[in-house]
Amino acid sequence: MNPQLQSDPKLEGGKTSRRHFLALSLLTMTGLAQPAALAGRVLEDKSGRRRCLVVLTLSGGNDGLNTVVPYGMGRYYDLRPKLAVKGETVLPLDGMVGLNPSMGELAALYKEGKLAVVQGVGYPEPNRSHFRSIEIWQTAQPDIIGDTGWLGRYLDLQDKSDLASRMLAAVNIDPVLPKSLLARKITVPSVYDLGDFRFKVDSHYQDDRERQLSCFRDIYKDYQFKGALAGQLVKTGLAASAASEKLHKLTADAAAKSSAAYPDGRLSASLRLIAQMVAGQVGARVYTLQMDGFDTHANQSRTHNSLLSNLSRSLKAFLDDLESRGVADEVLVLVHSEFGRRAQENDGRGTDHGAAAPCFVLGKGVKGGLYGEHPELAANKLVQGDLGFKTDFRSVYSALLEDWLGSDARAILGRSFEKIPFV
Amino acid sequence: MTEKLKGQQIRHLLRRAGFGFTPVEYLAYRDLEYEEAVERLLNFEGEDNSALEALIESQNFDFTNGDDIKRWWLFRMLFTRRPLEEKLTLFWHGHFATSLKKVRNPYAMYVQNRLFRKLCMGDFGNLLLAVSKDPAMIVWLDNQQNRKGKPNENFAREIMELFTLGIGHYSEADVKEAARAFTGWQVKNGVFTFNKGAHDAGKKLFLAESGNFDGTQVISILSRHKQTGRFLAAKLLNFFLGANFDRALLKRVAGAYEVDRQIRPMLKTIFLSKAFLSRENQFSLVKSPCQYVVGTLKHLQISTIDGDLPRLLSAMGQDLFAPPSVKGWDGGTAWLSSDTMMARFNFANRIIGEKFDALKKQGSLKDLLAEKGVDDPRTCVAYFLQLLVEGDVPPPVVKRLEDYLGKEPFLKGAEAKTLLDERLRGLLHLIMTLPSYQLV
Repeated sequence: MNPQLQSDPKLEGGKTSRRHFLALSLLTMTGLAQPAALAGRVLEDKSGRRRCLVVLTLSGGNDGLNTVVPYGMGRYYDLRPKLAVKGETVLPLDGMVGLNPSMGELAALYKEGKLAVVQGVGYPEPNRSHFRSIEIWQTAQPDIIGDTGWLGRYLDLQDKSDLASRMLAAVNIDPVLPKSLLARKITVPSVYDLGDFRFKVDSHYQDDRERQLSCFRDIYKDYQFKGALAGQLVKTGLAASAASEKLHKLTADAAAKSSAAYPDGRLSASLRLIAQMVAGQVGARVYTLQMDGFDTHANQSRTHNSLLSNLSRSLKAFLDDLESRGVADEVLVLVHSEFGRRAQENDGRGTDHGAAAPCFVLGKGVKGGLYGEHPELAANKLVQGDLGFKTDFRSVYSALLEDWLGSDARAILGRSFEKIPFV
Repeated sequence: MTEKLKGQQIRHLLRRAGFGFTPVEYLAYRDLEYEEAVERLLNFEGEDNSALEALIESQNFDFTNGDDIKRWWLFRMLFTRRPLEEKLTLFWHGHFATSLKKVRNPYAMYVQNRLFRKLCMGDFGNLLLAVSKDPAMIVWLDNQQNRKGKPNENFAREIMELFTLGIGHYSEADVKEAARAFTGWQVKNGVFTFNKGAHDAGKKLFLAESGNFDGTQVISILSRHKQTGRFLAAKLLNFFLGANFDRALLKRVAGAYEVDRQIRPMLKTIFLSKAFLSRENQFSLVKSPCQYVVGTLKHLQISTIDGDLPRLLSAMGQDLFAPPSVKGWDGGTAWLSSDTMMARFNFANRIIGEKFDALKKQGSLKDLLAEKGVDDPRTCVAYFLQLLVEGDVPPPVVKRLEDYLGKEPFLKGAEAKTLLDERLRGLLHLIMTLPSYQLV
């Protein structure tokens, strides 16, 4: 049976459920008096290697209803007369919901117990602006404009010796660093294309490279400079030169070992690079990347199906790649979006910005299954036409932070959330 | 005011109101008073740009090709005699961010870009109306699908969140009502058309006003809204001056808008403000990739544009005609990540290589340097630091660069000649990787 979980995001203090209570007592036993001890704990798998988390953001607002399709709810077909996915084509997860037929690979992973689907994930008072909503997901601070990210605060909690033992603490595979990785103590490097990510010198004078690089480092190390930007420029420049040198050494060997069949596209290229880094023992605890194109206001079906298909095939290839490199046990992937889309389709065969939507967690270390409740679709249960959330996204984060990464979710998220037991 | 100080101010103005300058371009402004230079940049209609247009004509750009329109625009940035016109066009491109990735029609993007250029300085209400009827925009924000009965809210939301008021100054109900007003604004055969059958002519309650509004009236309400002036003022200040300004200046720039919604007086207020010229606001902004690339090409007087320049810009985080989202480019520190910094460094390396390969054909480097009074490591480092970063680096950096360069390249003989070529390339590369060189 798939585990079902009733989650209550407003759980606090006196209203503690049994499961929540157990989590708390576990915390106490492992040393609540010294949260740092817990925070610095390194969870290792049997072979002594460390775990990492890959966070993939589907940018633009993924239509959850057509991703995890509630084909058992008649209302779905009323809300989506043109866009609904036909019941007979759905890849069923249970008698009520199933995956979009474009995601055959993910359906197979679900059967193998490597995919957890968390339904109805969101947060109170949903914001329908792309930028504010993704900021809320990335900072995990819905009530303030935060200046650190949930993953950044996680990295900040790692003790110095742990960070020092890693080649890189985290890597972003995208030109722009997401707010989720903003930390106080470290600057996370971004790598988009490994071939270009190297300090190059004039092709006539390759022998001068070491002299230039050493001059560059000397200058950057002691750059005393006025102005607010100096610190960040220096940190980023140093991180760039250090990270690129390390990565080139590490991935030179790992690159050759890939046997997995990735589909075309940017997502595949980024995932392949992550697999190389994991296998090359970069040691990063977190990788972030995003896939664009989910803002499907019009003529959605073809675009959306092709995105989901690419997503499904790329993720499958990634897991295969990790398996063939012998590191499948080390990696968990979270797939989420800034919001889902309006329950009712619009008149342009598309959907407008919405609220709650499902998340995927996948990997060898996942307890596969269907988690959380599907939001009700009855008109009086929709919130301003959108799906009401059933699971707070911070419940998903809490499980990842504590059960996968062995950190202190409460310290990172500011309070306790019931954990979804997919690890 | 000393000539030296005035020179600094004019160069600062040329960098911020444009993309930097060649020595010849600087000469054209150097002898003006600062206020005259501001007026000349602002009232660019008087500048004869026929040389640029002729150059563009000779390139035979294919405006239905995505790479060609990117190169076309880079040509404009590089060779225009109206730098502020191009800078402001880039500002509006970021403001009304529209991307080839969804529009998939380079010609429509080219038409939109011309629209930004044509209306960049005047009445914002006119610009907003034209943009709202622009085919690329209609496709980009799905107004084609916005029909009576089942409105598509995408355009209605972004016109308030991103183009005029900013988040927090309208309600979800305003979004829904504005969407109704824009129903029927469509593209047909590549041009704007008003589809009466798809338009919802009913009564709307929008931002506390009610009436049977259509899109034109919503635009009128938005462009006359006090908050629009404040929103645009803050955005222009951030773009041209940086985040370091007080409320009084914001109020003055917003006040300049309120008179008759003109952009030109807002910019004039910014460029003539004390804050704009203050030391702390010089070299205080992170160069955008366009600024980095075009400025570098101008500095080094490189007049060819390589075919893959758009791709290099994209690697630095600024893919022209393809901003990352409807919000455009965040700019500022968002330009700084490890791989985009590395892309800058590698662009500098490459462009210097090309420059020196070309210089080799013109004669001896040693003679060229001697003409500038450069004949040892000290004068050489000082000369290039002044040229590229106005000498704005900490003293230990000067020393370290002198050590890198060494005395050997300035000795006699064939070996020294090769060494001079090698180390000069390295020196310029290193200067362009300096934190100071990333700032404008």
